[in-house]
Order: sequence, then structure tokens, then C-alpha cells
Amino acid sequence: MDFSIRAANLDDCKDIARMIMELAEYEKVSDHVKVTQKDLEQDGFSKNPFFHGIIAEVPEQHKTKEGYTEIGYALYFYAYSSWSGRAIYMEDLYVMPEFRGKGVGKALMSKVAQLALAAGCHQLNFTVLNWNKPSMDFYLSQGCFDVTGTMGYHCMRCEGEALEHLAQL
Amino acid sequence: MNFKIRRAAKEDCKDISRMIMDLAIYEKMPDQVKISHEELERDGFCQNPLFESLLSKVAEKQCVRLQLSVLNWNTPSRDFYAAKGAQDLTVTEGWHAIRFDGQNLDNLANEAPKD
Repeated sequence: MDFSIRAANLDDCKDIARMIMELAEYEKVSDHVKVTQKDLEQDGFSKNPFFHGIIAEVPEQHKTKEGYTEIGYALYFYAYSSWSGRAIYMEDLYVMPEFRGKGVGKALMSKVAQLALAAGCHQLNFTVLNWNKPSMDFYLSQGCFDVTGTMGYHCMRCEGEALEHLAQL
Repeated sequence: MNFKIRRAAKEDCKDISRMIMDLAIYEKMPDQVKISHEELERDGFCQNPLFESLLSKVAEKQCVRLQLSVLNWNTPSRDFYAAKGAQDLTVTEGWHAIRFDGQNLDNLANEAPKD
């Protein structure tokens, strides 16, 4: 199947917002999504962006029945490891169901890896839900390792009132 | 005990590097520390710094989350974070941290579609 990977631009935010919601539905957490198209435009395409995006696109003849040609995306941002230095964090990786199994996810993830190396990063980090077997199997087959499973790191989060309270201390 | 909190400056990188090693020893992984104060100076204090070092920046930048990771055997730290209102997403939602590095990262990058 013919597809291309390219950097996301401001006009892609509508499709990215759509696919963020589709991914959240897959992960069974759609009520958690608070980010809007406008947030993405402000946070991804201002002077000091909080994230970067890449898009997988198919030609017109392969568009979905709703008319979408943007059929996958990855969001990433630069992070840091106090042990290894520059790192990239891949926040989202998503391919629409009817386009899976054709190498699109692999191409998106490889592109993020290529961007990571180009920026001098030594790690590509992301998270996956433990019940998401298709994704976990895919990632492991590509040569990553499970930091939680092998090293025992737990992902922690402070948000909402707890975060506000912490910031006042 | 009298102490103050302030933003890190470039001159602090030697001390930060020392304390990174202290932390790695505590986490039982000192052999994992690959960077020195020079990388910290370059990456933290250049034109577009990759990291900032004050919690107040969270409120200033209107961030909605503070995320971190902790080793499962590190009970004092886990208790401390829980007391401050952090949730353990690995336990409550099943999230696992995944990583590509070294040769595996290079291999993955080599398979990227040519532009």
C-alpha cells in the first residue's frame, strides 16, 4: 500500500485531534481527553513548541469512506536522561484500524528513531498498556525492552488538585 | 535546618553531575550513568535548553501534569510521592515504560522510509 510520512503542520491539528480521540477510544479512556484542536495549534506550532508531530498519509484513491487521507500519526518531544543525556519521548503512535498491518506504524516509529539520532538522542522512550498485547508484541519484535518489567520502574503522575497543592508548598 | 531552593546555573553542573551519580548509586545502577557535567552544561544551558530545573516552572508554564518514575523496591520514595498525591499509573492503569537504545535504536532508525 502506498503511503508517505511527513512532518505535521498547523493545518494537520484537526486530523491529529480526531486521531487522538480514536486512540483514546482504543485505549478505553476517551473521557480523559481534554486537549482540543486549538491547544494542539498553540502548543505544537508556537515559538517554543511542547511537542512535534509526524503524519502518515495515503493518496486520494486510498482515502477512508469519510474522506480522510491522514491515517496515522506520532507525537514526540525531546526529553532528558540524567544518565544517558538527550532522549526522545514518543507520546502517541497511532494508525487507523483499516490501515494496520501494512508497515505504517513501523514507518512512523522508525522515523521518530531517525529524528532522535539526528538530534543526538540516545534513547527513544514511550509507554504501553500491559493488556495491549498486539502493541506490546509489535514493540518487542522491533527490539525495545520493557523498562517496567525488567528494571522495576513505575510511572508516577501528579495532577489536578495534588499538583496545585504541590506547587504551593 | 536552613535551606533555600533556586534555579540551577551553568556553574552547578559539576555538583548536579556528582548528585546524579549519588542517586544512581542509591538506585543500584551506577554503571548506567554515561554523561558528565559537560553534557549537562551543553544541554541545559544553551539557546534552547532541553531541561529546566524548578517545580515552580510547572505552574508558570500552565502544565497539567508532573510525571516521574520510581523503582518498585524504593519504598521510602514511593511513600513520599504517594503522600504528595502522586498516583502509580503502572499499578492503577497498567502502563509500562518501554525503551529503544543502543544498537536497537540504530537498527530502528535505519529502517525509516527515505524522504
